[in-house]
Amino acid sequence: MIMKAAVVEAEKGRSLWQDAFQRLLKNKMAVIGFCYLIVQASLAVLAPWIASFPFEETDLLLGAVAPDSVHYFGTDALGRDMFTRVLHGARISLMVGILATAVSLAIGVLYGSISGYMGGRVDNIMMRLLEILYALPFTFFVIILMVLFGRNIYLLFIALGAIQWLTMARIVRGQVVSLKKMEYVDAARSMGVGHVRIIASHLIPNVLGTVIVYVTLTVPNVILEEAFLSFLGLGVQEPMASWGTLISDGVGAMQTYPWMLIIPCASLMLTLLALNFLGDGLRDALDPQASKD
Amino acid sequence: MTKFILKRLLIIIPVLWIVATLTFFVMRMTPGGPFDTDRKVPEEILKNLEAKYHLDEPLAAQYLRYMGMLLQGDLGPSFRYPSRTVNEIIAETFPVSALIGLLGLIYALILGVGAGIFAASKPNTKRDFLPMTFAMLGISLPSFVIGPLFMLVFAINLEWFNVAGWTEAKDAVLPALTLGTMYAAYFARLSRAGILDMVHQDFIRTAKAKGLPGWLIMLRHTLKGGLLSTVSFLGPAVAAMLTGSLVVETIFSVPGLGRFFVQSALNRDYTLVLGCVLFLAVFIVLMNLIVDIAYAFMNPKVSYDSNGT
Amino acid sequence: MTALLQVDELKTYFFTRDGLFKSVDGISLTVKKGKTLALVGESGSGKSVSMLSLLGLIPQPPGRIVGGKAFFHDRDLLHLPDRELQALRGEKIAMIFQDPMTSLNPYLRVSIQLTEGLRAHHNEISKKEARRRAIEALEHVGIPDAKQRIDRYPHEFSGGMRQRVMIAMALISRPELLIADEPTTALDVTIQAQILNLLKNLQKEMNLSIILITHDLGVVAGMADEICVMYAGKIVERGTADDIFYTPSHPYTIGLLGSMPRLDSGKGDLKAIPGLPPDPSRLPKGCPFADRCPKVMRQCRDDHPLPLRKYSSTQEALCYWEKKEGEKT
Repeated sequence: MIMKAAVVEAEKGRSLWQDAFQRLLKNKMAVIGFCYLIVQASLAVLAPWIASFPFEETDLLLGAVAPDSVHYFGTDALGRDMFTRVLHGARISLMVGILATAVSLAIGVLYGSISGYMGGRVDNIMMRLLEILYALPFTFFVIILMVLFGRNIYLLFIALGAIQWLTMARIVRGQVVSLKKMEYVDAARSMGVGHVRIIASHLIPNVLGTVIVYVTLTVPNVILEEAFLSFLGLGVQEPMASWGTLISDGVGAMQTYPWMLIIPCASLMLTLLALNFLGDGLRDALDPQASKD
Repeated sequence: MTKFILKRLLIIIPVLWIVATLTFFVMRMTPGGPFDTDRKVPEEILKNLEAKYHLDEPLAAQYLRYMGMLLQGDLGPSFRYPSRTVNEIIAETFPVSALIGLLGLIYALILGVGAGIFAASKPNTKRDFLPMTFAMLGISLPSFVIGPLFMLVFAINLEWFNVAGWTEAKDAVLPALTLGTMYAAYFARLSRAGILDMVHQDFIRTAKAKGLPGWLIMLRHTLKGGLLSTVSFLGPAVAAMLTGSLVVETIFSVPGLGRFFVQSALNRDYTLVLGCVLFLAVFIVLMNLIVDIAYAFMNPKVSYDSNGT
Repeated sequence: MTALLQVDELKTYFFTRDGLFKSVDGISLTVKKGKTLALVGESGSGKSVSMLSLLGLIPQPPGRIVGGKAFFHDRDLLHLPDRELQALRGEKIAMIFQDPMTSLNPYLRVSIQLTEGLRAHHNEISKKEARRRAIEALEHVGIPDAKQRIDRYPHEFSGGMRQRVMIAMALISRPELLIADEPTTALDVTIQAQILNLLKNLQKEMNLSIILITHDLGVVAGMADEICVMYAGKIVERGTADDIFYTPSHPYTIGLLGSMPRLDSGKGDLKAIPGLPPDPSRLPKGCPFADRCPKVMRQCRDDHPLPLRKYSSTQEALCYWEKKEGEKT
C-alpha cells in the first residue's frame, strides 16, 4: 500500500517536473534570460583569461578613453580597462548573488520546515519571532555592520543572506503545513520513520518547486542589495570592483565620460532583467495556478 | 478590530527594544570611536569628551542610561554635531525625506495602478504586453541606476532641472521620480495580476448576470479585490522607499534623513545612527500598521480570521 | 400557453490553442410561461455554456456563438446589441449559480450586492427605496432578521442562507425567467430540499419561468415540467417529467436513471454508466455516446446526422435504437 503510494507519488513527481520543463521552454523570454545568464556567468568565471588587461592595472598616461577596438568598453579616469572591470564586477555581483541566496536558503528552509513540521507551540513562537524580525530595518543593520567591521566580503554574504531568509522561511512553512496533512507523511510516520528523516526525505523534496521559484527571485534582490551598498561605498573595496562601485564611479564622471555610467548600468540591468524573466517563467511553469493568463 | 490594532501596536515595543539593544551593543563592540579622526586628539581632550558623553562609564551603565533617555523620547546629543541633538536633526531632515517619499509614492501608485488596470483590461494583447514589458524593465532598474540616468538626460542634456541641490520646488521632481519608478513597476505587476485574478471569479460573472454596466463592475467588484495585493505591498514599499532614499538623497545631494544616516554611519556618530534607526523602525512599523488596517477594511474576512490566531 | 423563450439550433464553440471545442452543438428548446424546464447532463455536456450564451456571458474569445436564434418575447438574444442585452440581464432574465460562496462578492456587504442591479436598471429608484425592497426580498426568501443581516458580509451567512441571498438578489427586480445553474449542488441534502421548495413557491407566486440546470435527476423529479437530457453538446432526449422518468427512450437517459439511488429498489441495483464522456475537442463520428452505449449498433458510428425518433407529441430522442413498446429497460 505504502509502496504503491510512493511509486504513484514518484511518477506524479516526474511528470510534474517534465510538464514544468515543457512549459518553461515555451516561454521565450525565460529561455532568452536563461541563455543570457549562462553567457554572463561563463564570462564572469573566465574573466581573468578573457580580459586582456588586469583589472587593477592603471594607465594614468592614457586616462579615460571612449570605447574602441582595444578597450571595448573604454577606460576609466585612471586608464583602467572598463571591459575588464565590468567582467570582474560581474564575478563579485554574481558570487554575492549566489552565495547570499544560499545562506538565506539554508536558514529559511531549516527554520520554515522546523516551524511548520513541529506545529503547535513551537510553530507559534517561531512565527511570532519572525513577525518581530520582519519589522526590523535590516538594510540599516547591514550598513552599520559594514561600517563597523570593515568591508569584509564574507560578512557581506552572510549579512545579505540574513536579510532574505525571512520570506523564504515563511513560504517553506506554509508549504510544509499543507503537505504535512497529506497521506504519505502519515504513512511514513505510522511506520515509525523519525522526524528528521521525514523532513529530509519527504517534505523538502516537495517544497522544492516553490523554493526554486523564490530562489530565482531572491538572486536579483541580493545582487541589487550588494550594488546598493557598494554604490554607497559600503560594499566591496577598491581596487576590487562590483557593478555598484562602477556605477558609483560612473555617476561622478557621467558629464565627461558617460560610458563609465552607462555600461555598468546596462550590465546590471540586463542581468536583473534576465533573472526576473527566468523567475517569472519558472513561477508560471512550476505553479500554473499562481498566474492565470 | 480594536483588538487587532492593539495587538499590532503592542508588537512595536519588542521591536524597538530589539533594535535599540542590538544597535547599541553592535556599535560599542567594535574598535574605533566617534572621536577617532585623522588628527591625533590630545589624551586629555579625549578624556573630557568621553566623560561628557559618558563613554567612560561601564557599558551596562551606558546602556541603562540610554534606555532611560529613550523612554522619555530623548535620543541624546549628536557626537559629531555637538551643538545639536539627534531629535533636532531628525526633525529637520525627515520632512525633506518624507516629501520626496510621498511624491514618489503618489507617482508610483498613479502610474503603476493605472498601467496595471490598463493592461488587465485587455489581457494578452498589445495593450497588455507593452506596459508589462516596461514594468519588467522597471523592476530591473534600481534607484541608483535610474537616478544617474535621469540626471544625465533631464538635468545635464535637456537642462530641465538642476543637477543637484535643494533650493527650488522642482528639485523634488527627479528624486521623487527616481524613488518611485521601480515601485510603479511593482504596483503595475501586482495590480494587473490581482485584477486578472478577479476577472475569473464567479462573483464577477454574477455581477454581469445582474446587468451591471462594465465600468461599475470594474470599479466596485474587480478593483476592490484586485487591488488588495497592491495595498498589502504598500507597507514594504514605504519601508523600501525609505531605504532607497539613502541613495537618492546621496545622488541628488538632498539634505534628507537618508543622507544624514549614511554620513553618521560613516562617521560613527553612535547616537545619531541609533536615533535614525530607531526612528525609522517606528515609522516602518506604524506604516505597516496603517496598511494592515486599510487592508482589513477592504477585506472583511481579515478581521474575523485574525481573531482566532 | 405561449412560449417565453424559444431557442433554435444554438451553437457555441470554443476556439482554443488545444483545438475546437463544440461545447454546444445545435440545441433547441422552448420555455413556457410559469413552467420549469430542466437541462440535465454530466458536467461538460454544455448545459451551463448554452445558458451563459443566451445572456452573452461567454468569455469571447475563446468562445463564440457560431449559430442559432434565441427569441425572448420577440427579440433574438443572440443578435441583440450589447447594451440592450445588458438591460435585459438581471431585469427580465436573472441567473443564480452553483456555489453561493464564490458567486457572492466577499468584499462587499450584501445590501450593496442586492440593490446594485435594481439601481443599475432603474435610475428612478432611490437608495432608500432600493434598500426597502432588498429587505423585503430577503424576508421573502425566508431570511430572518433581514433588517439587520442585510448589512452583513457574505461569509457571515451559512451556505443555505447564502443561496437564499442569491435567489433574493435574482428575484428582486421580478424577472420573467430565472436560470438556476446547479442551485443546490453545493448544499447539504436537507438544505437542498428547502431551497427547491422555496424556488417552487416563488415560481407559483410570481408566475416565473425557470430553467433548471443540474446533473442530478433527483433534483429534477419534483420540479420540472419538461426535461432535456444533454450529452456532449446535444440534447439527446426530451420529454415531460413523466416521459423521462417512466418511459425513458435514449440509452443515456436510461443509464442516468439506473445510476440514481432509489428508495424502492433493492441493494446492488446501482449501475454507473461505464466509461467517460468523450473529449469535446475530439468528438467521434456519429453518436458521441456510442462508446459507452449498451445498445450500440453499427450505424451509430457512421458519419451521418443521428435520426430524431418521436415517441409521442412530447417525447423524442436522438438515437438509432428504437425502444419497443413495453420493453423492459
